[in-house]
Amino acid sequence: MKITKLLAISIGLVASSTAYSQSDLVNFSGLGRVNVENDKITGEGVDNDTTSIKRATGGYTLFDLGINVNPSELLKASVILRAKNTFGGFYGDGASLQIRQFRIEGAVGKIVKYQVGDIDLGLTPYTLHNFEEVYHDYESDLFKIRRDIVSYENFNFGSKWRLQGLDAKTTLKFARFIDKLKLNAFGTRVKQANFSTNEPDRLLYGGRIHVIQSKYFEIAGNLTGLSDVAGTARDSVFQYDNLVATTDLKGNYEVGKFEIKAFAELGSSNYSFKNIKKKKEYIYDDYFYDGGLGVVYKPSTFTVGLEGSYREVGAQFSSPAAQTRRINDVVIINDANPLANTVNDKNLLFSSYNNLTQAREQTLFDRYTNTGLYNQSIRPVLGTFLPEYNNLTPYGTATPNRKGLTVKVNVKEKEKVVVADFATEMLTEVLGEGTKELRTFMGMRGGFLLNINKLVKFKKSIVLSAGYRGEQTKRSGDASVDLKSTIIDAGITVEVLKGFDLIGGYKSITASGNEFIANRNQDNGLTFAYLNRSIDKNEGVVTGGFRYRFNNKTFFTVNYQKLAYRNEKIKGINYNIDQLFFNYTLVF
Amino acid sequence: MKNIFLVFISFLLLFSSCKRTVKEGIVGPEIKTASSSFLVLDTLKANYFDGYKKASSDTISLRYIEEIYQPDSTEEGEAILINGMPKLKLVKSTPYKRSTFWKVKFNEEVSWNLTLTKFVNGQKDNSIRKIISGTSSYLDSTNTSWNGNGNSTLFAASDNIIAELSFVNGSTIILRDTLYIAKGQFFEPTQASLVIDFESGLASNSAYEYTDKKDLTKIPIAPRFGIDHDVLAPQGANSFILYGKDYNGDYFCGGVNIQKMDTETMKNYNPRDIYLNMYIYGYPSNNSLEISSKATKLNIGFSEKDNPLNQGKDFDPLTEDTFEKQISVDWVGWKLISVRYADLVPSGSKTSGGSGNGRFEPGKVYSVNCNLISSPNGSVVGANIDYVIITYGQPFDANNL
Repeated sequence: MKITKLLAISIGLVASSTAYSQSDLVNFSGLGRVNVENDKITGEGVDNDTTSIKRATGGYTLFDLGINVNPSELLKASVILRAKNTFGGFYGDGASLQIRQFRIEGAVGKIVKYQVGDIDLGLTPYTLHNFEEVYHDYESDLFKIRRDIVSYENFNFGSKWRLQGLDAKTTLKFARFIDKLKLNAFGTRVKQANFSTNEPDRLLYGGRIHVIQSKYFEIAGNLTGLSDVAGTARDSVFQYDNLVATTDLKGNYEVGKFEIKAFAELGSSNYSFKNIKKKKEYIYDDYFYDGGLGVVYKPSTFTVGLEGSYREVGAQFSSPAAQTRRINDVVIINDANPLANTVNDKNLLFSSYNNLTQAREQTLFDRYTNTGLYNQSIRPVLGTFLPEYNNLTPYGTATPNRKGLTVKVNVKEKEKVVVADFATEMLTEVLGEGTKELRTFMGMRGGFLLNINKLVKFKKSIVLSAGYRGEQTKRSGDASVDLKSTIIDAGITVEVLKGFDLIGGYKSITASGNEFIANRNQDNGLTFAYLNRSIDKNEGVVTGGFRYRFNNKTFFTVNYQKLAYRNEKIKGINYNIDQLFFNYTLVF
Repeated sequence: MKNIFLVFISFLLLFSSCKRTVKEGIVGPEIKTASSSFLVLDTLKANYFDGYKKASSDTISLRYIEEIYQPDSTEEGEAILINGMPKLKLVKSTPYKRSTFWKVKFNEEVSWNLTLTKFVNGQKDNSIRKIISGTSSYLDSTNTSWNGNGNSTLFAASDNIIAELSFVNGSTIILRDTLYIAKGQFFEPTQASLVIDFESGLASNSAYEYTDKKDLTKIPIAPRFGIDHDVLAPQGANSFILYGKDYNGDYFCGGVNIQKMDTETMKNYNPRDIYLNMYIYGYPSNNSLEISSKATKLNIGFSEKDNPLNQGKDFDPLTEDTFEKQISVDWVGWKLISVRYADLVPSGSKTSGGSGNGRFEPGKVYSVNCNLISSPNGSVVGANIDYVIITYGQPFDANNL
């Protein structure tokens, strides 16, 4: 009996020690989500509609399980497995299983860190950058929940691009002259060769050398290249190469309660596109510079920052990894846009209405709810865009053919009672597009977030937010342009019980005037087919609902949204969309 | 501080070496705005030019046929008369490519766009359209010549088209012209040979569909291999659907076999210069047919009657060659696929074309094949195909007809 007991205790000890070792070796993370939505379209655009779909219900359950394996200090492998079941496909019929992410990370000799597989990369706004194209910094939490889902599904984490390849970095410390030297290099494939369509492999590669001289001064050099690999497809018809090289520097100096900053980035691009079949070659170079000064005042309870900068980005500055749009704007073909370069967007909810004669154009509502509108790959050609959403920087800070002044002010209170910022941009084109006259751009954006509970010393959270973005574009002469657009955000979140919030929000865009939309061909050149887009519309979304927070990352929410679309240019196409949305999100 | 200053100077020197190709002027083609006195001087009208004759018409053909007649006679050589006039017989019929263009004049130079859109049941089908743009005071064959291509798609015989001329700026005038395409595109024999466009069905092109009989014993997915109208075709009204479920797990679901072939031309070309082209449609995820795009594959290629002991008989899959290439249909929408004859590989099945002599012999081509494969096996798979065409020297390019 004694021996049996000893044996049982030994086995128990071994099992428990083995279990302890397993959790060091393997750990799990994940996300689970359930989405259900019920939609309805009403209004004069569907009043006599007997053909189009006017109601829809849909949803899915998904579970992303992250398995992280750490066999040693210098090696880590992780994979995220996704199981997804779309509603209407119960009992496994509609279920899918896929690998969402696979990555190996490690260190070589404890000096060089590397990651291989699905990696997130970013450099500067002019080299490798995934930018947000519509201002929404102070939107309601209910809109933010929907936008977070779209961002997660499209791997939009911050300003980095999700790519497949290899990234390596190292940091060297020095005793004299400089503090640190950081080195980073990466190589990824953004397009796979296709023998059937004669498309070669396309690689994105580059790196950064970053010298931190001291706490006062830093300088870095950046390089990104996008190239087709000749020989990876038979009869390659096109050969594309683009190289961007930049240098950026920063200076900091503190004087009492003031911190003075100086910053700059400048660089150049070389673009080459060969059409082997037509024996044509397009090569052009251009450059940019962007520099400014800032000062931050830090008394005891708050900080105020003021920053001014000037930039000039050449009309042919080409940096696809920084200029690729995150969202695919679709300019639909209708009587107002007869020359739009693409057909109607079937990815949209209720994509056609009015007896299937009217294509529904993308709205603000679609941009934060529809994951199918987003683009996950680097594009060599500047994409078409709807100018009312962002005409100043449709391709991010690296938008070509822009020069001018930017001024920013921000206020942060240390207890976070209030956070506010404001920015204004006064830009013009560098060269005229289709005409000698230059466009001028005026933009303002800003907002605030007020934690009322901290102001009145209330235990439960009450948050008020408001944001504004206004733009005006003008061009004189024969091909005149006059476009105004305004985006307004407002939101309120009230914690009525512990973890239980009532939330309301409003979002709208009003746009009127005209703008010429340019179309580009395969070699990124402008074509004759300019589209003179004339608009007069308003989109407004009102939302209300509640959220129960189980913890910081897990919650359940129900919300109702109503979109009202009003078009003053084309009669009879106004509509409303009502949506009831349920979401449960679990993160561990 | 000195070091920082030196670095800053180096920074400026580096910047001074940056180049700008276009330093002044404008980017892009110039926009010429119509002035307040802008006038259209005549009517927008489609014209055709077939080598020696120009005419305007509401009906156009993308090909014209040059016919040569001779007086007919009896076997003894006597002229045959009808009502006192010699009866003529057609001795030669030669098709040629015909260019269509539009004519109209303005009183000043202006930027314009001419949009050609397929018109179906009184509505525009925007999936097939062509935009021709320019800046001039006229439209004619030098700036609006058109051979039937759309935006990577094709217009076809029996299509109705609406042509709309609008001006980029300054004028809201829109000129319209409607026309009908009587005959479709013509390709020089040394340029291309259309195998089938499915507009006149299968029988007239010696084509037939087939289904894996072992999959027919199960329900509820009923296979479909035939002419389809549900998906908007890239050319004409019809495409061919291949759809089914691989119930018995042998990967094969069915296919289509097209036997009308211009082997007289093909035999003159090296397999490296022969391309098999077709439009392939990939279904979106969550489609109503429950098609798995990840599992849908098409094996496309040629079969050759190259066994001298089998002459005069049907193709023998046990002794004659089938060469093919597997295409993963993992996209949504229509895509033009081109494969070179020399890049095809022998069929992996020894009993279905994999046991021939293994040599490329284009002059002995018997059929073009397209087989629907489920890989992984056991899945519901499907795709559509349209406009199967063989080209010589280069892949088919719809933008350059």
